[in-house]
Amino acid sequence: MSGGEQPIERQSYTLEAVLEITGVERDTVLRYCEIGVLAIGPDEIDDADFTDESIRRLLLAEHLRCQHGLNLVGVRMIMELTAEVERLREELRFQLES
Amino acid sequence: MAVEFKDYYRSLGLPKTASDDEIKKAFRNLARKHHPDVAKDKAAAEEKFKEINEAYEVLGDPDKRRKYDTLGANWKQGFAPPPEGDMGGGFRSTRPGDAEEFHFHGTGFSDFFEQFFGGQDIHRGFSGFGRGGGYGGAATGPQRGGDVESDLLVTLQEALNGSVRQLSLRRIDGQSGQARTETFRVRIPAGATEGRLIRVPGKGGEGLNGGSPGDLFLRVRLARHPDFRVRGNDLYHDLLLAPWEAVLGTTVSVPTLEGQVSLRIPPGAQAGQQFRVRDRGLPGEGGVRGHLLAVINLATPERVSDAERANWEALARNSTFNPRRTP
Repeated sequence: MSGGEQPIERQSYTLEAVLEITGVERDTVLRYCEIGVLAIGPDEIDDADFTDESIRRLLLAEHLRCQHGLNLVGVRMIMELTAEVERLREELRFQLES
Repeated sequence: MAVEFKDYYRSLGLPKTASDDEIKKAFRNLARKHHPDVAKDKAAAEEKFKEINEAYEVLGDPDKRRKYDTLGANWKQGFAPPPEGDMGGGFRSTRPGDAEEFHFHGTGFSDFFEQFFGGQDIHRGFSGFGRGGGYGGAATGPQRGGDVESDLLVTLQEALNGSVRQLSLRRIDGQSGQARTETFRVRIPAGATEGRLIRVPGKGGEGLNGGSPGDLFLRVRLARHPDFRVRGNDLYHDLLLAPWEAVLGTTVSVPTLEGQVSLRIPPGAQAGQQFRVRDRGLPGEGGVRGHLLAVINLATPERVSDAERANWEALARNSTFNPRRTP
């Protein structure tokens, strides 16, 4: 069957690039990895491929923490709820079309 | 900026009393007719396809339709858009001390949709997030501009093959009222599935005091397709079978994004049963494509001739099958 080998294109960034783009400190990124805001193991951050989604999540987490005063648990909770809503929206859309 | 009201019922050629089924049928018919992949005049078809997609995005969702119907009734009585911070305000930078307004063209969604329906996505509540203030420096130093999010309507063909889209961005300075328009190209990568983010560096809010501009984050929203539903990287196609085809088995032609393929249905196929056509879905992680799943739906004739009726009656008399019999 054709197409099985087609590679997916994904913009990826090194940790250094992410730190420069976001202005977030390495230790903060590490902390976000530890609490699960980023789906990257804390031991892997130096070699990890970060995506546009990682950058957006980092910026949003920092925004929640610095601008709205949320602690890390609150940040994680909001991020999880956001992801859940997104997943449910997708499922609802799928069901509505059937 | 004044937002033009969109008559979604007119877009689908339907009265306001149309049922959910009528809306679905109208969308599917129009989407087949105006799909950019099949139309001769591709540019015109693309515009029409976006219009009917947007209309179905709203009218095909009971909650959005209810909101739209309420809005439509109020609009004619001088309805005012909601204030910033309400549901719709997804295009303002929250750069401290300033407000910048953004209007995109080329995303596939109208300003009207963005203002009233884009706001239903929870992530829009965070639009305009950025690094200015509170992190990394005093207010008098350089401050990076806020980041902006917007939805980007992507067809399944674009998600399959990737494409380049031209967007124009009109910025309106909140204080001076001055507008500035810039045009740029965005590459939609192959494998851009629902919800995927595409970052466009430097196209967010302006920085302050020499700070760099923020980024634009485009979130992929897959356009609805008349033949396929999408779940992850898999495509689902509702395959209608006549009762005798399901009982006796058959070979049918099913659509894929790359043309028709033959699918053998074995005897005894059941409604809801799924048949997989491997690697005909969308590209996914690890370079592997999803599958196309043909979901069996049984269709029965609404009207039958006398001869057909006689055959059905003979079958009813002779068959021992009872779908409601408990084992």
